Amino acid sequence: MAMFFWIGTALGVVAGMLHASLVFRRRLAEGSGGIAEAVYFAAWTIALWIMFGAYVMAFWIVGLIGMALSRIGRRARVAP
Amino acid sequence: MSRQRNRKVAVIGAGVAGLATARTLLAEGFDCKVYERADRLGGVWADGYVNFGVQVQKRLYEFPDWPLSPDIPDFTPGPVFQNYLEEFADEFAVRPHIQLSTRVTGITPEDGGNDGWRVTWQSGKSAKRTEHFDHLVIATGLYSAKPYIPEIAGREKFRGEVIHNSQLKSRNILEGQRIAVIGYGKSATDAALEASAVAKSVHLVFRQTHWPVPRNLAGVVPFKWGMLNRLTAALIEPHMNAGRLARTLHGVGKPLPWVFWRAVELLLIVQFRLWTRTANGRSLIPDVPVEIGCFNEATMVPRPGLYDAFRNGSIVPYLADVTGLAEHAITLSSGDTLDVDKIVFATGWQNDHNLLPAEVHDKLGRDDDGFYLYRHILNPDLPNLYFIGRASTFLSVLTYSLQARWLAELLKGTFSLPAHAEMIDEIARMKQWKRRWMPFNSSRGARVLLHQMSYHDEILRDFGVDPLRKRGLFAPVKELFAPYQSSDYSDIVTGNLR
Ligand SMILES: Cc1cc2nc3c(=O)[nH]c(=O)nc-3n(C[C@H](O)[C@H](O)[C@H](O)COP(=O)(O)OP(=O)(O)OC[C@H]3O[C@@H](n4cnc5c(N)ncnc54)[C@H](O)[C@@H]3O)c2cc1C
Repeated sequence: MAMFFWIGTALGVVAGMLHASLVFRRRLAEGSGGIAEAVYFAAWTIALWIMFGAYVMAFWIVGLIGMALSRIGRRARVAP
Repeated sequence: MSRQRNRKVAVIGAGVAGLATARTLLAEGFDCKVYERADRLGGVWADGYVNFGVQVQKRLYEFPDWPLSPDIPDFTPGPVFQNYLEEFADEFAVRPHIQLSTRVTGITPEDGGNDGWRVTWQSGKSAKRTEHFDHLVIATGLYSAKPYIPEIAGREKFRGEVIHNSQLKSRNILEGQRIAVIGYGKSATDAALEASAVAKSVHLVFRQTHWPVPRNLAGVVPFKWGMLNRLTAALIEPHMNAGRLARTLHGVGKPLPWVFWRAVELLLIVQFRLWTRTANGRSLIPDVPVEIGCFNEATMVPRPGLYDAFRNGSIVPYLADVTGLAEHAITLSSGDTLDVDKIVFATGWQNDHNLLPAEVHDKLGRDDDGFYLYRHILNPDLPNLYFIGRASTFLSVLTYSLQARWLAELLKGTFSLPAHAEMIDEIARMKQWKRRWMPFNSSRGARVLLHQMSYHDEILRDFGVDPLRKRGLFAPVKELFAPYQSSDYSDIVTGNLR
């Protein structure tokens, strides 16, 4: 469990950094608060990803299994 | 022709869209005239069926800078909303510019529209008159005044009465009778609920089920918290102009939106107990996934009690086609025959583009799913002609107010339109994008619904305004989780473009 949590959090850090860089650039281009605002939004983005990274990973795995099962179910219904 | 110097504008229609447009353009100093064929302003709100009202919470359906009074119920009744529109017209001095009981009978482009438009109109029985305008705004709504009632075999044999739901002004006309309501949209379910209070029996016949949207999710959280925030917006089918992040989420991240929408479906099934069967044994659970189904025009927020009425038998639902009428009965594709005295068709309205001359219609296109416009507002081949109100969202008052601001900024010269080819390309891409996944109907071209956030963002970006409207220390978190509503745009509609 702890291992799963740490892997999720580590993935959250990576996803958060990538997401934050997009947010930073967009805020800099569109926001009225300049670089301070862009950094603030980017920091929140990383923080949220770190906080929820493990949950996102859990939902992703549940979703992946669900998608696979529903695809198999659909195929079974279509097959004669 | 410089847009800034030409300031004479005609607006056709004094519904929400026409009023928002006139108010915005008048405030910017344009010389604006509004033509309205009815004898009251308000459009659909001027004259509705019994107990009609706004579907969504009142903070979602109000002018951004002019909130509905706190003592008004959360789901604004139709006549109350009509009063609000009348007060709006007075407050913002729009009324003196409206010519009521005046039908516009024709519009003619001058030099293809480059020199403006000639508008021909008729007040009552007086002679037709024509006036020239620099710009023309069509705000005549998505539907005509002509009810749509499908052709059904044996109609001439039926001895009972056939009415359209718009004729249902009092439930008394249903008292003690056997009623069939045809349709499954908001107006159909409203009519069935009205009938169930006084009629002898009520059948609700529809050929397609769709996902209902609850006023409160799980009976507790207003639906705006689940559906109108940026997180949910990111989880729907990506917008055609979606960025890298959305594309990643719907690529490698696909299981996340998938699991979210399955959870939403589960919640709706449990909340409405959709496992209830129709009288002909069919399931009320729709075949289409909710994230696609919610882009169906018939998406509705039912009045409380609808599904209870199905269960206790006060409304008997049938999932079937009406195949024919007999003297006092209707026959269904399921083989059932229902004895009825009155049939209420809640089957919508006919599209009506009679106002548009053939040359305009040709340029707009004659596709079955309606015409497509750049930013849902204009066609680059029809200069100085604008459509306000051809974008259906859940928050139309807000959407039309933002469209009106976009138009005002365009006419003032705050921004310019992209090159002609670019706009044509954008329209073509929108067609392709919508047709790939959005359910068909005759106004798909105008359908925005849950993509309203992307649409509002796009409009704001055009005139250089930051689309993120949440403020305060926790703005980044609010951007993700808090619902967007009219008040978030209050400064923008007044022209305070920060
Ligand atoms: C019961 C009900 C509930 C609704 N709930 C919601 C909701 O919760 N959220 C939401 O977003 N939307 C809702 N809507 C949709 C609603 O239609 C729109 O929100 C909005 O009111 C449409 O305004 P409009 O000005 O575009 O069109 P309309 O209200 O149709 O106004 C068009 C006007 O143009 C006039 N006109 C047309 N042709 C001519 C002509 N040739 N010459 C002169 N005048 C002409 C018409 O007489 C009319 O007054 C609801 C609608 C109904 C009926």
